[in-house]
Amino acid sequence: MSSSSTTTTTTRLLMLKASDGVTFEVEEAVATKLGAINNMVEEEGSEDLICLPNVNGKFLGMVLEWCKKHANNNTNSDKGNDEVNKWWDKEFVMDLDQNTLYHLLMAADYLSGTELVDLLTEKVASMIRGKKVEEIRETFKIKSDFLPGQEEEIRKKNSWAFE
Amino acid sequence: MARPKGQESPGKKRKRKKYDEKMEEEEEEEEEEEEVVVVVRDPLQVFGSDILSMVLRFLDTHSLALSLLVSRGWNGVASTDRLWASKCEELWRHKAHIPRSSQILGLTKLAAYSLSVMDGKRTRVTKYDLCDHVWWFHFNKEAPEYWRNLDPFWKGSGPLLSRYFHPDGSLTAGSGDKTWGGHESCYCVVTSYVGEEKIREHYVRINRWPSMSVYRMQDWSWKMSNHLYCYSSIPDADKHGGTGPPFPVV
Repeated sequence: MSSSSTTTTTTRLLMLKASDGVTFEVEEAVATKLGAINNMVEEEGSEDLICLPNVNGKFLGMVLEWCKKHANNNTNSDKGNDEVNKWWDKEFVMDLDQNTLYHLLMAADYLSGTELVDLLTEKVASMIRGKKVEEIRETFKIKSDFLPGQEEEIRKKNSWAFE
Repeated sequence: MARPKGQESPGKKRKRKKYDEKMEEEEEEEEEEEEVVVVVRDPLQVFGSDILSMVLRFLDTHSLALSLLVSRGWNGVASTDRLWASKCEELWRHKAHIPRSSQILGLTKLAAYSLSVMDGKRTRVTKYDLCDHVWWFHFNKEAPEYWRNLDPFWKGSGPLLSRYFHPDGSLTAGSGDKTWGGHESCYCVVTSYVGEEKIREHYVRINRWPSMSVYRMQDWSWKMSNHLYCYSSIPDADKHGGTGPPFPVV
C-alpha cells in the first residue's frame, strides 16, 4: 500500500551549498524545480556539490521547503492538489516580513524559481494594492523625486484614475 | 561548518517583538552574521525594473495608475506597454465601439487606455459618431399604429431597419424600408453651453421632427430617442482604426 516509497527509490540526491557554508541534501526532483539548478544538473551532472554563492542558508532553506511541498504535491497529479498547493502557498507568504520576503524573492529570482517568483511578486503587489500614493511610498520608504509640475501632469493625463 | 537551516548562533538571538517593527534592529543584527542585507526597501532599487514590472502586473488598473505617481522610476516601469496592453484588452472587451482617438498609431497603451476611458464617459454625440456607425431604427410605443405595423421591431419579422447618417448632413434608409418615405432628410446635432464647459442642452434632430435626447450606454453604444422613435448605434468594435471623433472630445 506504500505507493510513495516506489516513487522515491529512483530519486537522486543533490548537495547544495549556500553562501554561508550551510549545505542541504535535496532530492533531485525537488531541487530541479529551480530553473538554475535544473540547468546546472543538465550541463554538469549532479555528481558534484552545487555552490550557490548568492543565497544564504536561511533563505535557501525556505526556498527548498517551498520546492519540496510543490514537488510532493505534484507527483500525485490530482486536481485537489492544486487546492492544496494554493492553500500552502497562502500560508507560506502570509506572515513574511518585508526583509525575509525580499531575500526570498532575490533568492528565487537568482535560482530561476519561476513559480515562486510569481508567488512572491504577487505578495509584494498585495502591499501596493488599494493604497494611496503616500501610503505606497511609506511602505517602501520611497521619496518622491518628481520635478515640480510633473506629478500634476501625470494626474491630469490620467484624471480618470485619480478622481 | 554546515549547520542546519534556521539555526542561528546562540547568544546572538535577542527577543524580537514584531518582525516589521524591529526591522532596523534586525538588519543590524543580521549584518553581523550575514553579508547580504536588504537596506533599501524600494523594490525598484532592490530588484530592478523587471521584477517591479512582474509585481505591477498583478495590480488592478486603479492601483497600477497610482503606481505611476510613486516616483520617476516607478513611473517609467508602471507606464510600459507590456502592462497596459492587457488592461486595454480588458477595457475594450464587449464594448460596442472603440474610440478612434485611442487607435492612433504610435500612441502608448497607457495613453490609449486613458483616452478610451475618457471617451467612454462622453455623453455628447458628434457627427463622427453618427456617420461612423450604422444605426438601428425603430418606432416607439407612442407612434401611430400604422407606422408600427410597418416596423419589423414590432412585427417581429425580418431584420431591424437601418439608417445611415452622412457627412453632408443627409440621412438615408436601407432598401425596402417601408417606413421611409424617400424624401430628402437632414439631421443636426445641437449642443448649447452654460458658461465655459457645462452643457445645457444636447440633442439630435431630424428634419423638423421632434428632437431626440442622446444617451450613452454601458457598452459605449449610443441611443437617441424621442417619444416617437429610437435610433441605436450598431456595435462595430471590430472596425479597424476605431470610430468616433479622431481627437478627444469632452
